[in-house]
Amino acid sequence: MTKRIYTGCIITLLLMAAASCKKPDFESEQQAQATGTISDYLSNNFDLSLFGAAVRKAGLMDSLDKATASFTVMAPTNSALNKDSIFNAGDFDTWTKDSLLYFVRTHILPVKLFYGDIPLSSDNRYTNLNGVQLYFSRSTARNNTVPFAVNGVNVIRESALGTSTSLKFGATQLNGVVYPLLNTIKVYPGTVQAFLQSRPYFSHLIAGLKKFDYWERMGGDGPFTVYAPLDSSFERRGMTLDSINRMDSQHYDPVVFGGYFLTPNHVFVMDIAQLPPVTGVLSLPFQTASPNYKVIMCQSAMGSGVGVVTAASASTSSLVVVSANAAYPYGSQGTLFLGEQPGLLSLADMKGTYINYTCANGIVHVMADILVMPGKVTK
Amino acid sequence: MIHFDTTIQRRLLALGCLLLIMAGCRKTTYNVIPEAAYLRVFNSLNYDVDVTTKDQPPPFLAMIIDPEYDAAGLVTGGKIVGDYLDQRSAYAGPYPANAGTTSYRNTEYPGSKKVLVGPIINGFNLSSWAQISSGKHRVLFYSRPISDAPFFSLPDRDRKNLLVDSIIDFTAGEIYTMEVLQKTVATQYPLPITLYLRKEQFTKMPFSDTMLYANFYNLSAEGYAAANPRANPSGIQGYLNANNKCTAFGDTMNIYYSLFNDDCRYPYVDGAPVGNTLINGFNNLWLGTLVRSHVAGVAPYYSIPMFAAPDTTHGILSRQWEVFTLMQPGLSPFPGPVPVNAPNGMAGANPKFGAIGCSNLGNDGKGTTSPLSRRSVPRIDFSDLIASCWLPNLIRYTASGSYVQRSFSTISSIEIINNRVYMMSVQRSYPPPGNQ
Repeated sequence: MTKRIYTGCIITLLLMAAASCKKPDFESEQQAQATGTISDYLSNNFDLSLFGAAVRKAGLMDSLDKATASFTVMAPTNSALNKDSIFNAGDFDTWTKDSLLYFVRTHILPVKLFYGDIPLSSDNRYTNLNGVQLYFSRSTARNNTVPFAVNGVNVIRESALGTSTSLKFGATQLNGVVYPLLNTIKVYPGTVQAFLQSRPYFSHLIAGLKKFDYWERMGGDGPFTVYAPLDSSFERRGMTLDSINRMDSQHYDPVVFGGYFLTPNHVFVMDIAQLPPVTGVLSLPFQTASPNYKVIMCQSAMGSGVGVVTAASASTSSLVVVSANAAYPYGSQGTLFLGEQPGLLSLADMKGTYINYTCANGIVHVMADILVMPGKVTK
Repeated sequence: MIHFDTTIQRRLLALGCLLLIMAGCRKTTYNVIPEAAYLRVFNSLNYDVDVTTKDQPPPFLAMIIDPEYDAAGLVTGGKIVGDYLDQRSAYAGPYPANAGTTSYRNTEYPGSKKVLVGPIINGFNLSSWAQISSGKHRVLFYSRPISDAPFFSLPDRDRKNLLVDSIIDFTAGEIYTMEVLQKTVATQYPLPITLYLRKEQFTKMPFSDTMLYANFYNLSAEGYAAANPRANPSGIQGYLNANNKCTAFGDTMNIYYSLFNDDCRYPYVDGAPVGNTLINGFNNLWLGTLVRSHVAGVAPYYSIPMFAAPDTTHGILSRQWEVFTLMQPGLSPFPGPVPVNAPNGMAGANPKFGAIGCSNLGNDGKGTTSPLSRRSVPRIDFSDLIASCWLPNLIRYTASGSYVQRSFSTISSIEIINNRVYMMSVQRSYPPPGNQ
């Protein structure tokens, strides 16, 4: 009898021991999720109707409607497209089919990219449908002034529910994420040299860069950041094509045209807000091609513009501005970007219509005036 | 009786079975590294990440020792991986202070990594040095994006920024300190990087428990001082946070030391005053000459007295603090607390002269931030600063025996790297706190 009881006990214990090894496999219910596709979102959102029309015209609406696909769409809002003179869907008819397709594909990535998956650093590169890399930058600097930018374009922050102070970006759909943008992303597939050459209104700048032997290198490895004033700006300051070609390179410091670009830097305007100088440092100057001069972009005396200053050295501690607006008050001495207003409170307020042209080897910003007054940089 | 015996036998059998079942689930394997060497790694790339340098690889590294590659030549693993190696902190103390941190950013290796660490050798606690098998190892450092994603789950393109690839022969039982340094000043990116390895000697040297020891290295990039000849443009404001930031130090400098009375208490409290009176007879004493170099080798240790406190603590709590003044050969320090005749004293520091203050004001290398703390910075006549950058006191204050705090001397290496100073301290063991 007792033998049976003990045997029974041992068997039960053995069974319990064996049962404890069992790993039950619970399958969770399917999570609640978005019900619409990116296509639905673009079609039904009044603020994105112009970009939706562009996508439809480019023939990509069907692709964005596939529920099993993965996309990330950077969608410029209607007001962003208005800055580029697109006011209704019919305005896209003036574009060629190829350029419309390139424009739309520029704004789409073939992956699902959530905000939280992007590293907290500048220039995380992701390839878009054109096979071109876009620069995604995140920053917490200055209490989240510009937390998220793509190629120097602010991404619009979504309002978070409740009292949450966390940042929320992007509307999640069945097949990806949509990030609304304040400006269009401007990507040019060639080099900065090819970009300048493709526009007829940069002939004076090109002539000057050629005169001071900077032009050839702009077709090579960069990266470059080019500040490009229009021909009309040079003419207004009395610099004609003829006078530029007649400039004596022995008489002027090479900064007279070497101040129009930085290398090796590629700087979007929002980078200044995302990577600001530490407390106590007034500005972070960039070295120009000429050792005696530096560029200060959107900081301290320059306000929301760009200025060229003499380099501080052991002999001079003050920075002397040699740009067109040098006589203006502190905070307005920089040359403004084309189409921008002076006295902005924050760089995030910029219109961004003519800045941040991303080329294969750098970035071009179009300026409203020239950067270096030749009379101030004579040797 | 027979019945009783069999019951006991059966019970024992049942218990035995149970024990066997339970014992069967326990697998204990002891990790042992035979013939180990000891390795500590710092990422000393201290260039500021700002908008003018954003096209440089971020100074955030992954160390891979003995890497493995896939068919495409992409690194897929390694025998030892030190991921998330952040820029080093100003102070690496004599105890493994980072072991319990919850941040993924690791300011040194092993730091917060759960690896086998060194034992106590000759009284020195080596728990900040990881064990590594001796012999030849291939050591790689990659720059990686700043995120908490592990290195090997990053996209392929983020695993290709190789900075250093080197083969190092580690000798069993030796203690190594390895650093990733900027080699020269350059305007092209990525900056030239070099690997620096120092075979530490402190476990083999005789040290007195009543003396402070310090040695000095200038591991700055070649040409850094020449490229940054200016004084701090922010003047006195630039030094009111009592941190390890300074201007460049010259390539060849004489080192002098001065001892001061009345350091503030440890830990630092905002606004606590730091005394500015010298200890008689210990003003600008010459120690030696420091030459900028990346050549491995241990610099001579200089001994500095640690005086017992002349107060009511019965000599338990010494409150002296130290200043190391560095001057270009040809300049000699003026007698007195401020050894130069420059505007704002040591706030005018430049490659010709500078001073490193070692005080509790350094706040364990963190510096101070509150406006109140600015009144702590010791100065003469309100504006002449005594030091231009700050590190922790060479004396450690810790609980011991029946004392809440007691002073212990340390053996410290002070490293000047470009425009920062760093301190790495080791310490002989001390009596543990008691319950009295």
